Amino acid sequence: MYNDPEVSAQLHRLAEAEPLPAFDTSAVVTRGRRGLRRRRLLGAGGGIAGVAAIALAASLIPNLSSASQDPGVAGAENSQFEAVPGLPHGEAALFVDVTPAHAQQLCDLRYPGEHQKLKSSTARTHRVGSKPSFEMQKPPAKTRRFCQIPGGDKPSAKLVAAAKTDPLPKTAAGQLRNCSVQTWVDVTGWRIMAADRSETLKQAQIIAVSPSGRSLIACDLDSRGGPMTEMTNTLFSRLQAPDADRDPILAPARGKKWAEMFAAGYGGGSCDSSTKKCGKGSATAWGRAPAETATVEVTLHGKSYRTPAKDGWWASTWAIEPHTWTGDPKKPEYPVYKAYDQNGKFLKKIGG
Amino acid sequence: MSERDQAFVEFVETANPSLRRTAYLISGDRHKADDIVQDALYKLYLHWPKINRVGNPFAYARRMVVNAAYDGGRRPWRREVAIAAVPDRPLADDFTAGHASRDEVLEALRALAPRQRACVVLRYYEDLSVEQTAEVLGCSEGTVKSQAARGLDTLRKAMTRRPSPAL
Repeated sequence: MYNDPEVSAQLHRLAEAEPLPAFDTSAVVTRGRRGLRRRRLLGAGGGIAGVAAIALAASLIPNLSSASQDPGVAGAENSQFEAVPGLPHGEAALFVDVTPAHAQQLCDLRYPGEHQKLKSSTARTHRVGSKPSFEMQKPPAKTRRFCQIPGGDKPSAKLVAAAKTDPLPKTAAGQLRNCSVQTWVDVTGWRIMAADRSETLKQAQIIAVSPSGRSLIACDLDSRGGPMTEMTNTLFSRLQAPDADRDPILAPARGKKWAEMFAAGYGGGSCDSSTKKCGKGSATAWGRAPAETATVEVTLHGKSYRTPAKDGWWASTWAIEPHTWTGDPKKPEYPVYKAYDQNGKFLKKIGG
Repeated sequence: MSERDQAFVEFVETANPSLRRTAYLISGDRHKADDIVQDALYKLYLHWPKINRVGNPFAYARRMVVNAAYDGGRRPWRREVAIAAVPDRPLADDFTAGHASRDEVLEALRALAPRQRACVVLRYYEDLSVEQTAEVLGCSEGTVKSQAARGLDTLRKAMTRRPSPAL
């Protein structure tokens, strides 16, 4: 290998051609202090262990037998939601292209009193549910970094209060209510396909499909910051016309129309190379696996967690407890997800 | 401000431009690069006393940034992060404007496989040795050599296509 000054000069040109806006050091410090406080609190409650996996009973799933029901309509027909200027109610808002100017209006409405400006970007349009960045002010008056573009159903004060009181509900109705409060899209009539929750992480993943079958919400409820927190990774997908750039779809096998989906996140759980001890972490994921999948298993550092799948749909919210690992901590491992059928036969590796 | 915070702030003020530029070259997206650096520095803050005591916090931060920048686009399990952060796409009629202003070298860099791109950036932008690059990426020196050579070849071809700057 030898040096190449010309390539080196080109790389420096590219890096320096891109303007560097001011870096918000104080925001990092503020976030770090908050993280330290959270870690101390978690440490104090170290006796709490275990993960609760919930396979929701059919009796709790709304509209199980109403596949042909019309898309949910809120606003004028539902006193729990108010109309939002420029957006239709319910699922229809998901199919609207939102201009940057309209996005700014919607973000102002969504976060009243904050007066934060969206970063200009090359995007000509946004979608309801997407999360463009705010310009960070220095010193920051607020620490919010993203605007979750709201839908056309502004929840009533009563609904917001109910979500705040019970940020991690156990009932399907409560979960869908909180997802509606978070997104401003009335999903209260949607059908839950999979759900999982972790008391340790204080998080839940709810996967629900609209009555029309055209849309999906992967709703991330996180009780640490309330239902309106920006810590969530909630997203909407268009099931009938998925877009590989926007929707977490996996390419369908040749000759098959069944598009599998997979999205996941992983944090913490790093291992110390000298002590071989691995800290607390979390691995959350959801997806649509082959239809015959009965169980999805996630493994990391010799530990595993299983979650049920129904009609291919699954959700996993795994709180990784501190443990000792005999592998090489210098070679980081990541969660690996595998699908099994009802007889325990391995079907495929989903991701990781 | 505590002594811990004071030292951390000084480090961030000094190191952030270099970390952000490296993250930008590897991830190919300015906003994503800033998010990656913010996340890495947040993690660094949590372990700051220990890292600062051991020494060379910049190498530690760079390793986190590089791995997040090149890993995030490769692993499907990270997709939800990307989806949350990536802005919506331009409409199709934006194509001509984008084409007119595009940079052949930048396009070629973005088109490299993630590990190739990371190898090229670490070797030829950060001026790391083969050994240091292998250590940062957690791979063998042979892999660094082969990946960097392929990436370099692609970039050289792009540079020959690049028009001379207008006078």
